[in-house]
Amino acid sequence: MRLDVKDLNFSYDGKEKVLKDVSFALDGAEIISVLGKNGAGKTTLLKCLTGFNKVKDGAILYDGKSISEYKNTLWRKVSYVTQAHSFSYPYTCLELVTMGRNPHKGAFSLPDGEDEKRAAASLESLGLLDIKDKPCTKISGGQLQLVMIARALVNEPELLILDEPENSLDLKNQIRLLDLLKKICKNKGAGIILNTHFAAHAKLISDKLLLLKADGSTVFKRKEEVNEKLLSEIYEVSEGDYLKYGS
Amino acid sequence: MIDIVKIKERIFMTLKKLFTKKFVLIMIILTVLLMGMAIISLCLGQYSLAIKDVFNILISGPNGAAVKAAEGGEFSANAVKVVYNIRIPRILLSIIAGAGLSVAGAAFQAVFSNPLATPDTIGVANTASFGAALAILFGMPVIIMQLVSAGFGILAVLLVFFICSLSADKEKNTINSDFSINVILSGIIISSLFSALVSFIKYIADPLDKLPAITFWLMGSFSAATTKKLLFCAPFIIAGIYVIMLLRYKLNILSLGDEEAVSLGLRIKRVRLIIIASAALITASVVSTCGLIGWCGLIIPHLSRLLTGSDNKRVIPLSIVLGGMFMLISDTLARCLTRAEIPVSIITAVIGAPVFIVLLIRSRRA
Repeated sequence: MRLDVKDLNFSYDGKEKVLKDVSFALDGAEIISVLGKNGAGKTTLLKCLTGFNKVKDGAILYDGKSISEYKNTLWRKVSYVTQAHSFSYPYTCLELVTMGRNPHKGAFSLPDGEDEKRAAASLESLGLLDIKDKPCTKISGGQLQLVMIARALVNEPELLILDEPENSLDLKNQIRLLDLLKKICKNKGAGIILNTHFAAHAKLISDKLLLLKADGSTVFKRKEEVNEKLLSEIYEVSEGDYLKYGS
Repeated sequence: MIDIVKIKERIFMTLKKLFTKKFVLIMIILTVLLMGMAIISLCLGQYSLAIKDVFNILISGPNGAAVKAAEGGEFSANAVKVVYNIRIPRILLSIIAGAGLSVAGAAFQAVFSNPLATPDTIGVANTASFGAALAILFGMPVIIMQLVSAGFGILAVLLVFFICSLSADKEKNTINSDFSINVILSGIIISSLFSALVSFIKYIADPLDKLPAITFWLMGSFSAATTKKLLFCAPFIIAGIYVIMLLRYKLNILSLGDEEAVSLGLRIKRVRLIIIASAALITASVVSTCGLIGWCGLIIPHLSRLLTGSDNKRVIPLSIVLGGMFMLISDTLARCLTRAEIPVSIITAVIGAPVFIVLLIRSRRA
């Protein structure tokens, strides 16, 4: 799938611009990481890409078609994993992941055995099969994060959008997740856009980086072209501090 | 002592496994059980009947049984009348109303992602009862009263959506995620406004004649059930249940919250509207025929979720059967416990409150 973002401007209140002239493109099986300090607009950008924020100024095109033309059919191609998850009801992990098949289901149809099989396979790919019958309210934050990613994958998306996926994961699970994302991109040909605070992770797995500056402007570069000096500017720390603490 | 706790835990786990893995079997057993309870309930009451006679009356059909009774068979003409004209409509109405209120409760609990939502969360019941009180005040016939009451119930839904549309911020560039909370707040406004208006009607009603009628009606009862009333409200309740049954998997998706539901490809505005309208239709139909009956719509979905897990694929059908049973038992007690009828809402509250406490402790532990 091809995604084009052209001259995107966004503001919540019509006055203060959170995003200014953001342009980038993702073509097929690529991984793009979005980096920026807190409040730079990383989540805002993802919400624009997924249509939760209504963009009036600029264009977001999926395979050349504007996002507004897709309505709910967009979600057959795109999966989105948000940052915070809270649940009012203790669905089991398997039930929760099975819900990821919903974009492919008709209004009145229930998930069948095939859907459940896929959900179980998706859980297995993240090493979560042993918690499939546990309620999603009773597992750790890290496990839940992985379950949500399993749910996103069961949709078999052409584009996967993740908001700070490594948050609340321990080192082992961070490695597992990053490896998995690379594998999905390579084997399934899916594009991936993720927000992250870990510049090192971003450089490890991404093809390109989108850097959001505090003033709302952006830099879009191949990862080889991004050096420590540029990153230290993004995080508004001295280059020395960045080298010491950041990488 | 510890062993008893352990045994209880094991029984509960086995029960839960059974209700989850062998769901179809459990549903068949419960449905048969419900039918058996209905037949037993047919025998009970001030005019008690032998189960054998009830079977014969049922098998002969209403006309056949009347002929047999006239010929001097084993049962009297009165027995036939009691079964067909009084008890069958009443029992069917109580089962359908119980099933409807439970499904409406489960639907609201999912749509608003709030386990404490009830069929009256958006104020339908209070508004419908205002309509009924108004009709009683003006001495309108029963069928008109039902129409007025149901009309006010639907008005409540329209008012709630109107208030929501006023408070929605159209300038905002984000998807309106405050919808659920706005609906609940608007419901509270409508609900308390109309309950005040009901008080006003009671205040001005004739204390000898109209006031007792209104008060008794508000307490909720199936005592006035007739075939005509049943035919008037059952189709709407069944239609509402049917729609929610069809969309029951979407209840899971909606219960995750707006953003999640959208990203799972659900057209939330449309689906939510259909489900709220169906649940409101059920509530208005029940309230307009039987008055205010509490607790059923709160505890039955909770009980169902405790037994079979949170997946509405199973919770909705289970709520239908358990809700029917709960209301059938409550109403049978209401008419059999004492010589005079006890309003059924008193029975549901007396059963409901302790059951809810048990459910609360149980779900904390589970």
